[in-house]
This record gives sequence, C-alpha cells and structure tokens, in this order.
Amino acid sequence: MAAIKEAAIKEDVWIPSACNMCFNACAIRVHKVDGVVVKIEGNPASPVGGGHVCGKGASGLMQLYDPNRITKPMKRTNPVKGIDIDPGWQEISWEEAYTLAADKLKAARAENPKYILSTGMVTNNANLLPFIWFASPALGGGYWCADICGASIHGWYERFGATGNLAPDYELCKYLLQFGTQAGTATRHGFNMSVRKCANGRENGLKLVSVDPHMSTSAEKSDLWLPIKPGTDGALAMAIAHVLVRELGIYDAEYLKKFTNAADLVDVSTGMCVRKEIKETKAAKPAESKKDAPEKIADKDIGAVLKGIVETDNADQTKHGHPYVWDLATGQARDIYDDVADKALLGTYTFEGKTVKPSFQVYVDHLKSYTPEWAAVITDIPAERIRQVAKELGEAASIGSTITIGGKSYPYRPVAVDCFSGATRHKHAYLTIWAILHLNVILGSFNVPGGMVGFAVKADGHPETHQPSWAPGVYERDNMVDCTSLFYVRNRSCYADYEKKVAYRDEFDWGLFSLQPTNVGGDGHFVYSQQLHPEQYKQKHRAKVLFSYASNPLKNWGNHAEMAEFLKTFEYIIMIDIYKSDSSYFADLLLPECCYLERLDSVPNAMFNHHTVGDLNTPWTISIRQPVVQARDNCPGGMDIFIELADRVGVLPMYNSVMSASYRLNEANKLDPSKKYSYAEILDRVYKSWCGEDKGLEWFKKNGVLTWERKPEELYYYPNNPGRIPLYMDYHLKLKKEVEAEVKRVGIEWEQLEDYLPLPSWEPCLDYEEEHPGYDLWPIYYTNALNVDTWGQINPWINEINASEPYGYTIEINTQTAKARGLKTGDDVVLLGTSGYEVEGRLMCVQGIHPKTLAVGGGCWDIKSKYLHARDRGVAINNLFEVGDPKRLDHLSAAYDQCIRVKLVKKEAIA
Amino acid sequence: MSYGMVIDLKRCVGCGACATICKAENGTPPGVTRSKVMKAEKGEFPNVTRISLPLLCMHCEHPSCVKVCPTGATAKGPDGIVTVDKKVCIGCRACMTACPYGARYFREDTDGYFGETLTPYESVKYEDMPRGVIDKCNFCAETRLSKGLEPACVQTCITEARHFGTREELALLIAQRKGYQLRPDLGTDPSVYYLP
Repeated sequence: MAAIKEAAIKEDVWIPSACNMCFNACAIRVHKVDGVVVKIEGNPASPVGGGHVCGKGASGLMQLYDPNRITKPMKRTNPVKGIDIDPGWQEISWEEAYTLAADKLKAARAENPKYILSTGMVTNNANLLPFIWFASPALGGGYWCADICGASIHGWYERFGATGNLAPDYELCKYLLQFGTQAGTATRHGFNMSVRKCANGRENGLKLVSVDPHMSTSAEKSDLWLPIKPGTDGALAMAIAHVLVRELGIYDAEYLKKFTNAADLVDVSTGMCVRKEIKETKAAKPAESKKDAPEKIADKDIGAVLKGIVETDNADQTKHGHPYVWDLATGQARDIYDDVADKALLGTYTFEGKTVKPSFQVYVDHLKSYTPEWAAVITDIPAERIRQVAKELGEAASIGSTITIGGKSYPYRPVAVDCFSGATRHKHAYLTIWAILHLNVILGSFNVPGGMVGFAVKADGHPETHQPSWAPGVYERDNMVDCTSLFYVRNRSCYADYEKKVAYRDEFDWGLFSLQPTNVGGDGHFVYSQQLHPEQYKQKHRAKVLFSYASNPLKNWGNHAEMAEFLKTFEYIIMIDIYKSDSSYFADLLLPECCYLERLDSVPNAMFNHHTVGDLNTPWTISIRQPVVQARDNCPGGMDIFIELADRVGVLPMYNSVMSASYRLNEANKLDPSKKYSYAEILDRVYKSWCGEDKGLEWFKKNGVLTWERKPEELYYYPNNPGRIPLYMDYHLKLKKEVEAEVKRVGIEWEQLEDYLPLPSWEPCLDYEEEHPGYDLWPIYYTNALNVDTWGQINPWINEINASEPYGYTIEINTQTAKARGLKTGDDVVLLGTSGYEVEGRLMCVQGIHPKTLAVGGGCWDIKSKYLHARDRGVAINNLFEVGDPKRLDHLSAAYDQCIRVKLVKKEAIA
Repeated sequence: MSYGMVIDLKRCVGCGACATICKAENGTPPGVTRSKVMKAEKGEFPNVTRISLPLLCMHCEHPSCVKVCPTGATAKGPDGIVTVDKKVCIGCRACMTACPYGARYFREDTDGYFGETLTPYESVKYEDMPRGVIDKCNFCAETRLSKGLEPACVQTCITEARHFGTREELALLIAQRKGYQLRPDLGTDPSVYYLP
C-alpha cells in the first residue's frame, strides 16, 4: 500500500488466534487493517507452528472471504433427496431453525434418546469434544467418528506408548523407518511442528526410509524408498523382525526384561501366560489409577461412550494373579514383581508340571517362517534389500547406549518405526500395524530418547494450578502400563478391558463395538453396516435423527451411492457446516457456522495428546481461537449453537455438568447446572481453572498463548515410571473364545477369529489374489502438505496450486505399465472395481510408483454437483469401495479395507 | 550491495507455504504466482526421485528482463532487487519471454479469485495490481523489507529452509554447503542459490 494510504489507516492490529485450515490448530497472528483481514502469519510465541503457517494456513483468507460460505439457516422444501436434486433450500430465521432442530431432537428423545446419532470429524478438533459431550452424554444419543482415521494405529500406540499418539523423537533419532506415512514431511497430527523437527534431524544425519507404493513427499525426502506392493506392509515388518532376531541376534534384552512382558512364562500347551492361581479371593481391581497419579478423571459416562467397551464384571478376573518369570540364578519360576536379577528370555522350562517358555522364546520360534525370501514374493521388495534395512535399523539402535538429559541417564535408542494411514487401510490391519510397531518393542525404542515417544503420555499441569494433568496407571495384575487415551485425555486400561467378559449389546451406539475390545481407538465404523442392515446385526432399531457437525459423511467413507442410501435411512438430518457439501443433499436443516476467524472456539490443542507433538523443545501450550472480525450475517459458532440447542431441548443442566467435569473445572469455576452461560463465560472459567484466576478469557484474548516447560520425565515414560508394555498378548486368546461364543449366542456373523493371536503376523487383504482376470492394478490415494479433506479444492489459492502441478487431480500410473498397455499421459480412463463400481480420471505417467499401483490425491475429491462450486477436481476412488458389506472391515480394529483391484480401461473403449 | 536468498533443498519439503503466504502478503491476483514450487521426477523406476524446486524471481546480477524492457519499467535497484514500475510498464511482455526462470506474470483482467466481484481482502490488496501490466517478486521490498522484516516466504517456511541477506552475507553458507544457481550457463548470475 502506498504511504499516503497508510497514513489514513485508522485501525491496524495483529490479533492472536488459532488456525482451522486443518485439524492441527497452529497458533496464528491475524493482521487486520480497518476491519479487513489482510494477512495470517504464524505466532512465534507458540511452539504449535513455531511462528510459521503452512500453505493451508496462509490460505485461510480465501475461506474467510469466500462468498460461497453459508451464513443463514436453511430448511428443505423438496422432500425428495438425492445428489443433484435441488433441495429447494428456504432461508429461515435462527429462531425458526433452533425451534425446528430442538423439536426434532426432543421428539426423538421422548421415544428413545438412542434414536439420535451424531457424527463429526476432526475437522475442527477444538469444538469436536464439546460437540460429543452435547451429542452423547447430554442428548443421550450415540456418536461415531465419520472418518477412517488411524483405526488400529491409535490403539496400538496406546498399548505401546501409553497414549493415543506417538511420534519419532525426530531430533535425537538416527534411523526412521516409515510405513505408509508422511509424518515429518507432509502430513499428520502436529505436521507443522514435526516437519521442522524432522528437517533438523535429517540435516543432522537422520536416515529416512520410506515404505510406500507411491513416491510420496516422505519418499521424495527419504534416503531409501521401498516401493512396496499395497497391503503387504505387515509381511515386510515380519521379515525385518526375522532378520533382526533370528539372523542378527539384535534385540534390546535389558529393555525387554525390564519394560516388557518378554520374560513372562507361557504355557506352551495353551499359549496363555502362566499366572498364579488365586482361589476364593476377590479379584484385583482392574484399571485403578496408581495412587500417586496426579488426576483420576471423573468422566465415567463419557469414557464409556467413547471407548465402546461394556462394563461388566468378569468372574475370570478372580482366578489369576501375577504372571511368572524364570529366574536363571535359582532355576525357579518367580513372581514378576520379585526382584529377579537374571530373568530368562530364552529357553524351555518345566513349571508345575507344564512345559513353559519365556514369551520371547515363543516369539523367536514364531518368527521362523517369516524369512526375507517369503516376504520378497509378497511385497516385491527384494530379500537382500530387506536384510539391508534390518541390519541398518538394528545397528542404528545402538543397543546399550545411554544419554544424559537433565542430569539423568536414559537409554538412548535412536531408531523409530512408524506408520499411519497407508498401512491401515486394509483387512487384517490390526495385525499389520502390530507387526510394524512391534519392531520398536524388540529394539527397545518405545518411550525412550531417540525412539517412538508419546505426544503427551504424562502431564504434571501448569506449575501453579497443576492442571490439566494426567499420568497412566498400571494394570496391577500383569504390571502393564495403562494409557492416557487419545484426543480427550482420560486414564484407561486396555488390559482391564480385555479381562471383562465380552457381551453383545443390541442398542445402536454399542452394537458391534461391544465385540471389539481390541478396537481401543474406538472408531465406530461398523455404524454403516448396522444402520443399513439392523436385522442382520440383531439391532433393536435404526437411528432416526442424524446430527452432523463439520463433516461430509457422503464423501468420508466408501461408495457415494451406498452412502446416499445410508443417509436416506435417517428420518431427519441436521447439519452444521460452513459450506453446502455433497452431504447437504440429504440434510433437512442446514445450520451454518461462521468461519474460524469469526468465532470463539473451545481451547485449541487442549489435552495436547492428539495433535501437539511432544519433545524436549516443545513446552506445554494453552491457546485461544477467537473472533478476529464480526461474523458475516452475525452467524454463530458451533459452541453457541450447541448451548442454544441444549437449552431448548432441556438438557442444559446435563451439558453444564458434563462440561464442568470434562474441562475439569475447579470448585471456584464449576458451572451452575441450572444457569445458561454464554460460551465466553464458560471458556473464561476453563482458562482460570487451568492457568490461574488472573489468566482468564481476557488475558488469552490479549496474549493468545501461555506456555510452560515440559520436563524430560513427563516426555520419556521410561525409565522413570512403572508398568510394562506387551511383547506378548495372550489376552487375544481369551477374547477369541469369548467373541466366538458370543456371536454364536446372538446369531450374527463375525470374521477373522483366526486373527486373535498372541503375537503379530500378516494376512493378505481380500483382493490380494487376482481372481478376476484383468483386474490387476491397485488404486491408492495419498495427500500432501497443502490438502486436507475437500476444503483444499474449494479454496482457490490451494486449487490454483493443485491444478498447476503435474500430478494434481490426475491418476498417476507407472510409465512402463502405461506404455505396455498403449496408454499415455492425458488419456481419459475408467477404473472398474471388483465391486462393480467405477470412477473416471485422467492419466499421468510417472516413474515414482509401484508398477501395479495407481495413485490419486485425496481419494474423495471430485465434487460433480452443479449446486456446488469446486467441481470436477480430482478423482474420488473411494467411490470404488463397498460400504454396507462388513467384509471390507477389519473386525478387530474397524479399519476399512480399501486395498482393492481395478481394471483400467480407456474411456473411449467403454463409450 | 545486492540482496539474495539461499534455499536449502535438504530441508525443503515442497509444501507450498511459500506460495500461499506470498499471495497473502502481496495480494497477487489469479495466475500471478510470484513464489511457487516446481515438481519433477529424476530417474527411472525404481531408481527414481521426485524433486520439489521452489521458484521465485532470481534477482539476477545481469537480468535479461532489464535488457529487453523497451520503457525502462523493469530495472535493477541499488539493493539488487529487480522491480517493475507498473506506471511505466506497457505490458508488451518482452520480459516474460526473456526471463529464463518464468518469474514474470501478466495480469490479463481485473478479476479476483471469486470472479468479477472482489472480496474485501482483494479490494484492498488489488489496488496495486492493475490489469495489462507485469507483476513479479520483489523480495517483499515494500511490504516487508521496508519495515525491517525478511520476505514472507522466508518468514513462514515451515522447515526454515530459506536464508535471506546480502549476497556477501550468504557467501559463506553457499561455499560451505556447495550452493548452486539455476542455469549459470546463461550468464545471468542469479542472486538465489540452492543448497543440495
């Protein structure tokens, strides 16, 4: 701007807030000049982003001023629902909109609160929790997370890392083996934090190895790319374990003895650990927090809803006590709690007439058949390459080395084996993710410097208030460390859950969850099957009212036509969104939410353990997302809508009580259940409870960010804290029997009973074999640093870049594969799925892709509707995946098998 | 004294933050991408890698654009920054043809990203974006350097891969890390260097 114009400026301010262009909620400073937002920058006062915004974050301006955002409530006038059928939206007043919504919710509740089903995505993580609190405990309905997310990964993180999200300790790590993830280079929780730490690591000698069928950003930045056949990651991981343990003898014996159950004795005839018999005594109580835990979380209702586990006592609990280990010094079995200096990891022994082995010996035996030669055939990774990676990984682990931090000595294991979305979109994902992450167990790299470390396994809280704080407890019977869960921190025990008797519940929000104690992450992906086919699953009823927040369920999952049928099963759909979406075609009432730069949200990054990467250089951070400009048409934010609806439905006292408990408000700031507060008043109490009476909402509005130091003993769980992690999971054997009996009793079909194993393994996906001639290619999808969900193509700055990139919005195919079929870049093609579904796209010939793989960005893009404005951008290959048939679900983790085969044909050949 | 930039390709992840922050800072209209990331492949499967190459005006010591400008609108300043005086530019686009780095853009119309009607942000920022003339990177000279701030792409870079300073200040880093210029054979002597 010219100097003369600058002289006339009346208002020129920078306002601290938090981004919402993806779920990571990085700290931003927003520049406003005379009422117009002219720039968004990173806020250097916060480690969440560290003063930088990514390409999405800077593009927030184009969302704020997008004329296509909706800002007035609308009701449907055309009762016929379907894609491209004009709903006949009629703008209505907020009074009418709230009355309509409240009447529908009240009527459903009067019949049965379970008739209300809510859904949301991590799109706005800050408000998602208060939305769940409203939808589930307050309204009394069910909730499911619509996206595919890290099904099975978060659960294994919880068991191995004691919290729901882990990351490599990038700056101390020296060898990072990634399966199907671009964490640290392009994606994932805390991306704008981890990408810098990973760059620091790479500059200082971190070797990055990327296992990915497609040359993703991580593969681009890697020192070694392993272009694997889709769906075979678990086989590669098993072979690496085979080489490490059986060929090289590399494993961290000290770690295995101290911090895992590798020395626990297993009865070889049953596969169960040998535990003390306890006769006629009351059982050890499951999942009690250890006494010195700073906080026992008082949110039983919410915890139960979120974890999807049935609370029933189990008589079996009374039968067993502590497991045993073999004491080599005395030649006797000893209690795991005894001080045994020389525990056996290997060997075969006799105890109480039974042949027993340490579980590590069972593991060594188990690995025998998983040779690199076996894996090479499955994965397309040559055996010598597998041996090379295993050797490099094992040597980099520097087993035995230590590091001194804060005056204390820690084990130093500068290796990490990580995975995410790409590795879990498969049948048998539970086993695959286990096989991958298990490599960290044998190398001793979980929870120690340089290895795989929890985002926030333990928090002592603000130095003055000691809030918010948590620590995992210990499952006393087996001395296993519990976890502090994911997203909303609560202390819970995976192991106590396993010990409860599996009992099927025919109420909608439980249903098939109740058969999945293994699904620790709690993704509710069986919802689609249950809602479409309630009789098949002996459900009492379908849900009748769908309440959706910041989500586009039509595109979040599989085939869109099937998803349309799913949405049509609801009698009434209320959707809160900032845009009309594909799913709006099925909504009855649209409640607009204002842009993130116009609203006051719940605390971004609260609870730290979902999207704020932890490491020594990352202090704890409390922040704010506040209005920077007046909302267009005075459109409210989500929090205002939830409170207003809670009041009108008559559940405000419950909602207030749940918020008091869940936000952990102190006595002085607890909400009066009978009073209607503005969200600003509530948030003021949250900040005061956590940060002190002098740091309420006004302080945060002005200052934006409060930080305090993270202590090494909060970050590195070992060796400072009690409990162990599993090398061996005999819990699965018990579960198998119970699930098998329960599904037989109830009369429903259940799959994969063969997957309930005590040790990891690999099983092929449904489409592994080419059963239909010509269906010989696997389509996969990826994302990059600039794109999240469908907002990317809607945002014109992001779209401009996508459209200008050679790979943007195309179907990538290996050049040689294309050539052999007479295809070339620019050809319009059709992918025919084995399901009978098909999608169209334009080819781009590339070298950076496995020859049998096709890759697209996003996987759910391609809005085609004439009523939506981001048309024909991208290829929605998720249209190829079946929705209603549960065979596509990994029954142990609710992961979605998207590893399908397609036939590639030229469009003109079909025409 | 000439300003220059060093981009560390070891750290860069090709994320595009530099591209959109440049838009936000300088309010560039559709089609004008002063800062961008070029993507390409090198090698054949399986011995292949992808390359992300961040591009902007190279602010050459011997800029070919300046030589061909018929009106003198394009000039190299005493700080080494190559600028366009939009009041003098006649939009002949000779400079676009002459620039070997594709760093110049011609504004065809007055549209914004949502069509003819500009958003409040565009209304403010596009005042300096008249149609029919050339636009290009100026190292954020007016928007940031004049206030003692480094260019927006440097400030936001999420891997902190960019270094900004005078060419003298950057010389040591370039020498130590074996930094290189794009197309040195053309004799333009770019002030933007890349670290392998």
